[in-house]
Amino acid sequence: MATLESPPPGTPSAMRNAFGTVLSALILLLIGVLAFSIRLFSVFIIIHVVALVYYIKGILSPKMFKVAVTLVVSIGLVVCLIVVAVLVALVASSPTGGWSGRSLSLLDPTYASKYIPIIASVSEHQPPTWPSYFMDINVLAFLVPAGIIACFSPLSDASSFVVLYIVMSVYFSGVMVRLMLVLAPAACIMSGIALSQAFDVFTASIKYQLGRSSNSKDDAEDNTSTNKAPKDDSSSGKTDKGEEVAKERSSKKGKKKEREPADKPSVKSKIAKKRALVLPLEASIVALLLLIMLGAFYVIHCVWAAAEAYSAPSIVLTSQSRDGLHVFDDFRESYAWLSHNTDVDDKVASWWDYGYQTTAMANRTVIVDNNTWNNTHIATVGTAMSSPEKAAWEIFNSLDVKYVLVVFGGLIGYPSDDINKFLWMVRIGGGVFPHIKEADYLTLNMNLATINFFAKRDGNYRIDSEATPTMLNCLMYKLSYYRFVETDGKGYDRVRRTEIGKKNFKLTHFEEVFTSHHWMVRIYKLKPQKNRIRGRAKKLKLIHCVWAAAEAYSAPSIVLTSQSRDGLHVFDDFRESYAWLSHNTDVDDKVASWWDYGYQTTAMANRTVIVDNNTWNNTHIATVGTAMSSPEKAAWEIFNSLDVKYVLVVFGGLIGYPSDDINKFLWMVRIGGGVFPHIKEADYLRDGNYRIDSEATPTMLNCLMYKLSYYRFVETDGKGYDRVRRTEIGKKNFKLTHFEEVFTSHHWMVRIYKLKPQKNRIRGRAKKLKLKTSSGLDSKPAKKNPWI
Amino acid sequence: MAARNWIFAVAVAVFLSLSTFSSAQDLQIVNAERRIDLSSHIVKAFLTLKVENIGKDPAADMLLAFPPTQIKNLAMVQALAVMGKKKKKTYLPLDVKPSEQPDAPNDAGYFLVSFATPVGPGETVTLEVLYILTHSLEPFPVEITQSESQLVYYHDSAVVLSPYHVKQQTTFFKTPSTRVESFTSVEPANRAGKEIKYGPYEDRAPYSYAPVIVHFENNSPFAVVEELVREIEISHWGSLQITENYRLTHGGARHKGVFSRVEYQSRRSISGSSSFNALLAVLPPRVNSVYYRDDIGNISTSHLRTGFKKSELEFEPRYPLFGGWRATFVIGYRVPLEDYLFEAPDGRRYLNFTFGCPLVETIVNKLTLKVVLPEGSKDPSAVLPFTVNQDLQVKYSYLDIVGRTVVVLQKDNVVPTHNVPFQVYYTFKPIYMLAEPLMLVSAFFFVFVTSLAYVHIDLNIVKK
Repeated sequence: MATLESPPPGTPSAMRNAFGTVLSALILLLIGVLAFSIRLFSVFIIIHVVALVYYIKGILSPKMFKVAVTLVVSIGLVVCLIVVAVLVALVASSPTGGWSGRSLSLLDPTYASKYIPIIASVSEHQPPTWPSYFMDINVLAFLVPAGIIACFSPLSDASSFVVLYIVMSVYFSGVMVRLMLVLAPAACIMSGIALSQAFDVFTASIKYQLGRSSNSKDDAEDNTSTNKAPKDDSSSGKTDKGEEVAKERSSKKGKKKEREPADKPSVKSKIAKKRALVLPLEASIVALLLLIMLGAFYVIHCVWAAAEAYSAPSIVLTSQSRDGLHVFDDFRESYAWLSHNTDVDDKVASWWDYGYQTTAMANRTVIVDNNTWNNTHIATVGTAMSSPEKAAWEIFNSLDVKYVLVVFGGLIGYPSDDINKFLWMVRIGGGVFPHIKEADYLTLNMNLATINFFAKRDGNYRIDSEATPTMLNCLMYKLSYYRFVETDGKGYDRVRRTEIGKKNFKLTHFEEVFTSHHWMVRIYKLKPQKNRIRGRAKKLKLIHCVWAAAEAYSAPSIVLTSQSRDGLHVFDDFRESYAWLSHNTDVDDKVASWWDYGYQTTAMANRTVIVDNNTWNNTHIATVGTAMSSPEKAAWEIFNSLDVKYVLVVFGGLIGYPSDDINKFLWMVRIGGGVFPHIKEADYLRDGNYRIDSEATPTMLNCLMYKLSYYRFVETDGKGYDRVRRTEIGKKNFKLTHFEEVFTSHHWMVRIYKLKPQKNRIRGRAKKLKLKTSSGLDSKPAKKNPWI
Repeated sequence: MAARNWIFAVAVAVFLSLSTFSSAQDLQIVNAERRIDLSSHIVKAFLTLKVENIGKDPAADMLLAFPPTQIKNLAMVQALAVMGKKKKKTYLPLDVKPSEQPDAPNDAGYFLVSFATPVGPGETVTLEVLYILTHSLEPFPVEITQSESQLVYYHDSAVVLSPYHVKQQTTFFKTPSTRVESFTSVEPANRAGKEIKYGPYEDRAPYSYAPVIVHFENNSPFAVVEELVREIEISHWGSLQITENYRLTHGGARHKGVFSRVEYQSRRSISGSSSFNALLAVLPPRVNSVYYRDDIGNISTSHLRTGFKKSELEFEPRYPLFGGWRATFVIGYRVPLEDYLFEAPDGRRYLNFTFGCPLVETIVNKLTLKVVLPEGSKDPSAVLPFTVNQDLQVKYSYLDIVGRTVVVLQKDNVVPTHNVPFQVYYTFKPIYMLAEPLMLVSAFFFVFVTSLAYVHIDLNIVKK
């Protein structure tokens, strides 16, 4: 504005002005905020171009000037056209038409929530609520409409520009709360106009009333100018009208200057034309005072808002209680802990909101931060947070993450914690990785579901006992509520105002390394791969021991013992079989078994296995599971394709060892079926149970696991009584066509089969066929015999 | 002449060496009683020696010997001579200096104690020796979980290491709790409550050594300041500004595995018993403008109690410290100048301030104390009761031209016993105090004069 009011260039003061602008630009350049002063520069340049035109106009003759103008304008047009063409080409070449997601969501407010949830997830990108308008612009909200009305009487170029400005900024601020910044100046200008008009009216009527009382002869309608319009009309002869209005409304100086000439004619007499509003003296004085009070209260509100809402650090929370101020400095506590007690190269994963803080205060590398340009990264973290523990561990491990940081407000009731942000993690994660489905995390309101087609949308993220299993098993739930129940015995979440759904659980892949004083920040460490496996082995051992205690066995993991009347009985079948494998097979032979025995086979038998306890490769395990669940021939083909020579199964039916492969079989089917859909769990189930007795399904009785486990088992006692399942087996006499038994341990606990070689197998089959035919031939005479 | 002189010198040297040698043999320790306090991580040993001169010549000094494992952890040795009988005992501090002995067996280290008056033949003198060891408690197990308490080893000898014959001696170890896992038995040795008694042992030859290991529970806070930089800035305008940069660590058994807040909060008595989360700093009286912060801002968990004799700042690090965890923070405060700055009779000024670390029961591995003298100070010199590394630096602050002289005092292995006054002398002309205000005044004056001139000069190109 200051530049607009400067006198025409060429005069000494304009020169000084230009000098000052250049100087200030240089200072800005030194400070390094040049980027912000580009607009200032453009105004500066435009003014000097205008000045140059005037200057040239003064030098040249009108004719020459016209020629020069056409020349310059035509060249300028050509240049502009070229630039526009280049811009259009550039814009057209980009897929979104050159618009970033944020700009597009400005034009279409639903765009972001449909396509790029990450933009919609940012709280600054939400549409503002009405209270936020009142909070931010307070009384301006009421003054702006008045200002708009004032702009329409009269409507000049300048006032229509201001009206357009306010309309645009209201729209933008309505789309995103952060664009309240755009609204602020427009609202200020509008309310300034409104206030100035109101003051004009009131002061003018006071002046009039006072004037009337002093010289009572002029009792007629001696109105002072109360409206802008006549004032402008009276003074429009001198300068351009629009500029005049702008001057008046923007600066007090202009007003003062203007009022003098405006007042003079009014005092004199030519007032009769206006039917203007003259208010009573008392009313206008009161109204004036009220307006001043309004302004004063607005100032107080602004100071309060600046202190409390805008400058209050969001990282240190305070609460005023009876016994004084309580400070929640958990964020900095945890960042300081990370900074001093972790390795400087360790990476920290958290939701992106805490990225910048972690980088700045903890000085650690983060996976995602507040610069949300990389949607895939954020989706990966969101997916990990929404996944079960193991999957999450794998994701984080692949990202080389050491620590996972979650923010949890449930203990003190801090509402903007990660559980409340969780719906965005699911949405953003699901946007990139489709296996994360929002519906899995939503508890449907059943009443609505029947009525409302959009019931899915109306579901809630719940963490109480009604929550979905997916929700209760996801990493975010677990990391937030790990051991939370121990604080009050119930696990009452003060933010969600409910008891949590799953209270007692263990973490298998993560360990708690730090929790801040008020539990607002919890930091977990990924268990190292080695430790994790050891942990699991330990756990298995533990379960086994519990079982052993229950079954009156005291058992180390691999050597089982049983106390019987005639002393301690040792079942050392595992080591027996591993020793056999180690000494009696070729060193390059591969052994297939369920993964539980992989490490043991590798270590004790020194043979390559297909899958082992390092269960990172799900597909491999599924392949073995499929083979075990398939009929013999299909299984042989699978194993042959894997170059497997030996198949090892663990069978407890003879001595009653319950953790054998038949009892683990449901997992083989499930894991196999998870990858190879032709394995269907239903085929193996009779009334929902895995049965191996006479009620078992044909698929079950024909699968490889059944056959390898029970091959010739009936011959031990004549009935085939399985001591683990406590039943007689369903299919008792059968032959193996593609496998041959090469070793069975002392107590039948480990049975090892060899794949028949292709040649042999064919020969075998041929032999069998031959045998069949021969037996058929034989049977004919046998049948015939009675006849003979 | 020269040859005779030379012979005389050799004769004197031989005589001297013989006399020192003989003095080592001429003294014997009639009775030695040693009490070693193991209740915190700073090991304090009180040694009472009754020394008798059995030779023919008066002895001016005696040697204290320490095994090489202790000599590097030895923070301080003090000796007092006990004068008078019971009830009217007075103590006289003696001069103790580290000394080298050519015939030291097994790299033993020595300190030389000089008697106040030489001990004549047949006379006895009683000495009280205090020595302080740091980093001498070795955690075992080295790593503990949150619920375990901390066990440490202490290695020492059951008998006093001495170059003299010791007729009778006893050693007591005082442990912080009654939980003692084991201790080496050197008969007679027994334990009663918190005390383990070794001895009495009769007639031990010089350099007798009987290694013992005590394995016991010690859950006292092992607060170790790895590095402390204290900066004392003198302003002759009326205050001393002290800034202390701490790098704190827990020097005990390393924390292993999980840190569970729920256990820490609900089962405080058994969980994290070796951790600490509260520290106490003893600050000077009349302290003001105290702050406690770190790199990322103010830390709100602190309380200041000001008193007439001392002020106490009770503060908590941002998080409780478990074994091996670290924290950094800064404490700053201001004290009035007149309490600490005085004028010496010779016209020099001197600062009289406390050396060491204000934190109680804390070991400082490396202490750097910087005294920033006002600009224009000359001839700085520091006076300390013990040896430190001294250095001079220059620091530039606002509006400094020549910079401020900084006296840097650096000492390793500092314990609370080192919190004794020290002095820094310097000369300073009060006129220098006005240098900076005058600079500002002249700068503003110049600006105003320039603007006056600018207003009155016509810079227009076109004449009006």
